Amino acid sequence: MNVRTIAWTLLAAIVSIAAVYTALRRLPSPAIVRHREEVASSLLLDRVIDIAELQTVAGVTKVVFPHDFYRQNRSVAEILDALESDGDAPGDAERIHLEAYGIARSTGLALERTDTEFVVLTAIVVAGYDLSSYHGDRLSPGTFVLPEATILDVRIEDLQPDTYAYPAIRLTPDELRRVAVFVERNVPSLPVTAEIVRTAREQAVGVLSTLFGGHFDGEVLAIP
Amino acid sequence: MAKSRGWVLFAIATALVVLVAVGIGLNVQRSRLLRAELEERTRAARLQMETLERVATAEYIYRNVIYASRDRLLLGRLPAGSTEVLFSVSIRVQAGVDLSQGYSVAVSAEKADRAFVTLPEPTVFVVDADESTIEEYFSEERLMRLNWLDLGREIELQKSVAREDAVQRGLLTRARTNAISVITELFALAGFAEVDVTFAPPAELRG
Repeated sequence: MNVRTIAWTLLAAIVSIAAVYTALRRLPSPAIVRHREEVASSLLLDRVIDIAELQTVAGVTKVVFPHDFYRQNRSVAEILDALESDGDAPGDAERIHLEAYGIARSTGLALERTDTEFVVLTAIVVAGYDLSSYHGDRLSPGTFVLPEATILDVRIEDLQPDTYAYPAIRLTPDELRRVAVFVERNVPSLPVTAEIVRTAREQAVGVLSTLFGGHFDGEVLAIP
Repeated sequence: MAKSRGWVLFAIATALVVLVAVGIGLNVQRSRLLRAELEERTRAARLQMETLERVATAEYIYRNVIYASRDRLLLGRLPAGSTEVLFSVSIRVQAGVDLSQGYSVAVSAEKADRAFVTLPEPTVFVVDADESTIEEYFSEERLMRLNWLDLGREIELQKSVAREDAVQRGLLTRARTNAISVITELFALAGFAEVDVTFAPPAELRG
């Protein structure tokens, strides 16, 4: 065997070894599976966010104006007296009560919760997650921390005279619009809205628990 | 010279034969391993589905306001004003897929990482009125003036109104969309690249 033969044989051997090595690389060895899982983990966060964002709860809430915005067991006079004696600025509940009272007064609606002049509007409240700017993974990599659900949308449905099951409304279109604008702005302050937000979170917790079992403790998901 | 060329050709041919044989062997082995791995994952996904029973995927919260009025009569005949009642109650309407009604899972014969899942059509699971949320307006004596109303019957009526309204607003469509998403993710986590989710009436799944 001369030098050229040896060279050719060596070349063939190298080609064969390279081919076998390439084929071996395609086998799902534990290291390769691990690598694949690492890549999957980085993509998993996006999928978890997509899943959480799908968990919305809609509330169809009948709102009684002005009654739902009056603080129970307190009259306007009592609120004003308390503000005057304490010298404090009104809190949200007092501010909403006073504003509702102002609208009610100018539109001939109830001035106290025991009065019977009211308007019922339907508010659609959607609660859930907008995680488009979620950065929780930067604080603790490899985890997803489920934030509190929030109100994503509030809108007031148009009144349907055919199905309005309450005493006739005696407001002008402008007055009714004023009431609707107030209700839309202040629906988030009602207790039922808090219930809708809480339910949206419960739904998200339920789905993430279903999918990730022991990796999710109800708040923090250790991305598997 | 010709003899050494012959050796070279022989070596190359041998190497190629070995290479092809090794390649075929490894590919068969790889397919077998992948299929075994996916079968294992399918089993795990099935097991997880068995524990789910009901997957609630959509929910509406209602706050209904009920108004009723009646005339008060003195001695049963003479008009003596009227009584008005206005109260609110919260109602929860929840829908999803009930896996206890049956489901099927199959892995594609052509693509081992493609699964076909058939679920029962989404249904409304719960229509629940929370009586602790009843709030009466116009009176500080809670529910005192509601006695003359058949409260239970009124609430039942409101539950059926809420159920119908939720379905009209797309509750079942949303339950279906969300169920597809949840089950797709469940199988994606088990290693399936493609998951086809379809729905069938429970009778077909049981049959």
